[in-house]
Amino acid sequence: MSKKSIFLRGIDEDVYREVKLRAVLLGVSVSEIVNAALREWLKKPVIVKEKKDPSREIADSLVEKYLKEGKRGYIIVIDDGARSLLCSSIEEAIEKLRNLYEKEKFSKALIRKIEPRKVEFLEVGGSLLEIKRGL
Amino acid sequence: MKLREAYNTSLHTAFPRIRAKLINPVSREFVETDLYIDTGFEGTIILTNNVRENLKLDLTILDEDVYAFHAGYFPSRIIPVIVILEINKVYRRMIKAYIHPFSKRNLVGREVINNLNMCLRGPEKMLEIF
Repeated sequence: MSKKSIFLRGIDEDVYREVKLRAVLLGVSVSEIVNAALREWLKKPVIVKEKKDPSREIADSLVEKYLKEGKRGYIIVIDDGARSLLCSSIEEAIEKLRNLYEKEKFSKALIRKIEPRKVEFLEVGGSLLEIKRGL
Repeated sequence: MKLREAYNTSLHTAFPRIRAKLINPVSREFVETDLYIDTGFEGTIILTNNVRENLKLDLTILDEDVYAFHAGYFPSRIIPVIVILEINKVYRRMIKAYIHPFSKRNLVGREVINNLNMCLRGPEKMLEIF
């Protein structure tokens, strides 16, 4: 593992003092602690904001409006806002989309539950990763 | 009724797979594809961008923020879509599937596998579904 010397500005003095004290007690260097802390930090998820999607923006504003009105269910945003529909269930949303698609073809539909946006994490195994052999 | 599926032996380590039919519930179009067994994936199925395009899955996107963890690291955004999954005569349900931007193969995870009686006959490179 190659190592590099770097200079950091803006380190909290109290934190640094405590780290240095503990490093002495543990018999390790401050850089070892910093490396360990940085490795741990890298394990945490990073959520990068994506490019603005007109459909999502419309869905967000509709959800906000319907939540204020006390409405529940699902909304559909078709072709980046060309049309939007309100449904009571996901099954009804699919049924409405199917009927509409038979009459007029569209290319994109976004289905959104009327509730505040939340983030979900799913554990994926290693099957997506391929180990290159014979390197 | 017993369904027998041969492993994919073209990979360095043979990989158990199921032949499945994926149906777009809006356009009613369908594709038949292999789903590789992934007990490490806690969701339903992961689909490639190719399937997304061929099956026109942009018609059934769910506006949810879902991120995939790969063995605890490298989270990446995956896109939930509604699809009908049919595995022979054994399983047919409308499910929430996920499009993974970097996946090269389609995977089936525990949320589906846990509904099936499966037997992995490793030495014979054969998967059986009862």
